[in-house]
Amino acid sequence: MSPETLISTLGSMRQAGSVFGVMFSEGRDEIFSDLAYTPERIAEMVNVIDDIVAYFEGEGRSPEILSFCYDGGNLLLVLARGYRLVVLHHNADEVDFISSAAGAFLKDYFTGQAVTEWSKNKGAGAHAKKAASSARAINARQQPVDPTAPITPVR
Amino acid sequence: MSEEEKSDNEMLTEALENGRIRFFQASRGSASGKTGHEDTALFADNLMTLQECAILLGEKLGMHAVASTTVYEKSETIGFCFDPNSNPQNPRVAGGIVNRRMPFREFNRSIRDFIDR
Repeated sequence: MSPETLISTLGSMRQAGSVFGVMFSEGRDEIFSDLAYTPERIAEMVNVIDDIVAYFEGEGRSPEILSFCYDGGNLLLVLARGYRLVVLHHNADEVDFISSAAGAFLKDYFTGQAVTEWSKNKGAGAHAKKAASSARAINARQQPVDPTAPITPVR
Repeated sequence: MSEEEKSDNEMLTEALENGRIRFFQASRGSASGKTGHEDTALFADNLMTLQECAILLGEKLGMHAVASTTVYEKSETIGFCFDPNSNPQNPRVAGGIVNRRMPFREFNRSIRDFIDR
């Protein structure tokens, strides 16, 4: 998934229903955010989420989706493979729809990563084969020819 | 095993076999339920953890009054709601654990129905 596609998909989620903010991070690295908070506040939130995940991991637990309802809004937190997706939304009744959309986004993201990795490996593999073939051809040309060896006709 | 413990275990077994929510209540630092001490302690632990998570995140968002929290973990749904009719100085909480993933809306509605009973 290219950065442009990622931003577009995350931005689209923002248009879904009563969503008013999205944040996507990996560990303590913010990948994307359109939350209406200062960069410092967003960084603090990324760190708090990382601490929460670390706490659960320390307890041998692996929650996948957490939904929090506050007086001023709702927060959905989706956790997967070290990635964290936060979706803020006004309407609590939309939580299942948003949860489903968030899960679908992450699946697409991981699929994109897997395809990119496969392409890289395939490309590297094809390049390596070509290089090996060229090396063999060069080696063959560089072998000294014995002028006394019998000439074997090609059949 | 006492009769009460036997009954609690039967309720737990029945709830697990049928995928029914086990309900709990909590206030003033203690929790109660009908599915045994261990199950109630499990809810109490989750209640403390989820409340703490909600407070930490809410602080960063500028949101302070937590109404409810729910979590999916493996094949379980665990959560709680504050009883809106309880005294804010002595808030009561109701919650549940169910051994399947329930839609969040349905789970929260079940907890609120339990509060209203």
